[in-house]
Amino acid sequence: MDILWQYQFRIILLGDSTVGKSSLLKRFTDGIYSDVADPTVGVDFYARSLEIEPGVKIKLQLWDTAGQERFRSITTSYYRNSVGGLLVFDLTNRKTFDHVKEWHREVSEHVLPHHMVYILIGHKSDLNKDRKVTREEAEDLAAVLGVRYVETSAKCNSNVDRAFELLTKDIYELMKMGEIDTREGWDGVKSGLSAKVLYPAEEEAEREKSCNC
Amino acid sequence: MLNFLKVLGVGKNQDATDLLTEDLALVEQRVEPAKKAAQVIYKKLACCLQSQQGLDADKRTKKLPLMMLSVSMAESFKDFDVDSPIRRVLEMCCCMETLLAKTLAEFEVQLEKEVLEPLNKLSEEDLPEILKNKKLFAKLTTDWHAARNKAQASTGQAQTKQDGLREEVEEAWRKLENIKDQYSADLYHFSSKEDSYANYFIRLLELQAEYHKNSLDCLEKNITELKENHNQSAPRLSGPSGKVYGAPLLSHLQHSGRQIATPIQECVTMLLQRSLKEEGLFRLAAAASVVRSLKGSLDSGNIDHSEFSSDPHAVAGALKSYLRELPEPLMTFELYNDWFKAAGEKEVSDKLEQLKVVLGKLPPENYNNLRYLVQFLSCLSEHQDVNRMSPSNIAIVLGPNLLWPRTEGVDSLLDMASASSVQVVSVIEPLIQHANSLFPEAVDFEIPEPPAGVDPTETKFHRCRIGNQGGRTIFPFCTQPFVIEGKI
Repeated sequence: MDILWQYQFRIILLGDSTVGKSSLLKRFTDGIYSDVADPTVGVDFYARSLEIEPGVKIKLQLWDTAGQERFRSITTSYYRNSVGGLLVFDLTNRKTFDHVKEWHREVSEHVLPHHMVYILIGHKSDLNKDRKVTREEAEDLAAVLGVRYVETSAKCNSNVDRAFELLTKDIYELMKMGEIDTREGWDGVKSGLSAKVLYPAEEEAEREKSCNC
Repeated sequence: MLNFLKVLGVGKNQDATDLLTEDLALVEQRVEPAKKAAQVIYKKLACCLQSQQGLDADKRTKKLPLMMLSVSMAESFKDFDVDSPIRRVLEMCCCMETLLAKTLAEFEVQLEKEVLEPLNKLSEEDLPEILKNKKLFAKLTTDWHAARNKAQASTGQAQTKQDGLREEVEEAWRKLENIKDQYSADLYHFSSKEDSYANYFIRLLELQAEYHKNSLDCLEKNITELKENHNQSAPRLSGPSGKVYGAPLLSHLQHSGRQIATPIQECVTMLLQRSLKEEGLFRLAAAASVVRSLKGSLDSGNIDHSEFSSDPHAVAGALKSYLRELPEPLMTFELYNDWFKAAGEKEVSDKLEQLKVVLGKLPPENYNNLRYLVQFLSCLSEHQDVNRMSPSNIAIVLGPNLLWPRTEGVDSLLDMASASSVQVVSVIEPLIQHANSLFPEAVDFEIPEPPAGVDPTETKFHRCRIGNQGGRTIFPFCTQPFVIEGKI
């Protein structure tokens, strides 16, 4: 079991069904791609670690949901307990791009007063000839939402790692700046217990947590 | 254990559920009831099955009680000769029971696939998996508490010992975090699936509805056919063609190529010949045997007028019986309420107006036969001084044979008792009384001879507008009192 990580970030994948959330995730965590994919049923999560800078390992806990499903009572805690989100759309499907704004709004409203770190993903870049959304449009949307934009392909393994790395780095930087912090009862960011922690203040908090005295 | 720790007053103690977010804690409480529900409903639903689970539809069909019934019917009808009506009906019943058995077997296969199996998977696999993690979560929470308390109690002991205990706490916490994430995912999953779990029960109802509908369709279709065949076969001994009494009006007309149903036309013709002045026509009963014999003749199409003209009450009885045996009354089920509504109008002019509207709604075949009959009855009532059959009297005795409600359910039985027999008079009487204006068409029955002994005083009140020319009546719109001239 990999316990040599300083932080764990919980990240969710958002977007309509069939945009390729699960494929993206599989490529990133298992390094594989399959042309035939069953629709995701319910909720599941996967993990992979990234060394974000020498000696700093981040464990990403990646949560995948079926895009067509909306939870009822539990949306809030599902969204709230994440620190980052990939807003995924299908470059060959205009509708999924149009819906990105709705996904962004829905999640942002639920996590208030906190904020989530997003990255916009234009997926299936291998199907360039069927593209229905131009890079410029997507970049414009990213600018409006104040997020990064990356075009990926799980099939060709293009930019997949980069997309996750960029999001992870953004979160990490915000943590260093103190914008994001571990909170009691929040699963978005957790400190690793076995490795020495970066910041003394953090360690103090950690000791307090495990003692609870 | 947890309670024990709480009793010890260890600050900020949390049991497993406290570590979950509030909304997940709520979802958590639904898992156990869901498992129980799936379990018990699976069991009870399986008890409802008549066929053995796990078999294909064919094999199930064979073992159904309905199939046993069908087989017994098959075995029973073999002992009859081919012409026996019992045999013919049993043959049909045998097929229908088989069909019903098949429908049932198919329903049960589907029910098993779409409801029983998912319920079983839910209660035996999916939910126990979640509950297993719940247990593990609770256990690891306890372990963590225990480790933490031990570490707390170690204050003042050797530093190495304290550090070791600290590590144990951290290890316990890490394990706890892992299972917490897994368990949370389970609960999120469960929550996202609740709707589809609920759908199993909707599916159950849908399948039941479909099954009952299929069975009903199969029954209704075949019963009509069976009845027609059966009614047709009954008088077969007396004649070859059959299918008049008890057959739907339309099918009889189509079958025989007639405009007016055989019994109506033949009986009216016979009655016109010499019975218009018969006292109590349609009211007095005739010998059942003569009526039966006449019905047989009418069914077979070989009617000897001279044989029956002498017995007007038998002829009237056969006509009445034809009307009553129609699967649907001549004035139709559909317009049942319309008739009463129209007849309920206070003003005569409104009443006639409304009756005309309803008449206009009748299918052309029904309209034509009703017109024919009422025009005859109107003619008959012209002789009420002699035959004592006023429109009201005719309506009383014939009304219930012209209009009755659908005999389904308790309500209509009440209807039958009250409305149909008494109130129907209010509908039929004006029809006869105002036949002239309600039925502007020419009377198209032949009057073979003028009613004997028509004297001028009588004809003054004669409202029949019957003229006869070459066997067809004319002057359809004549409003003057008119003497029946008979055949010229």
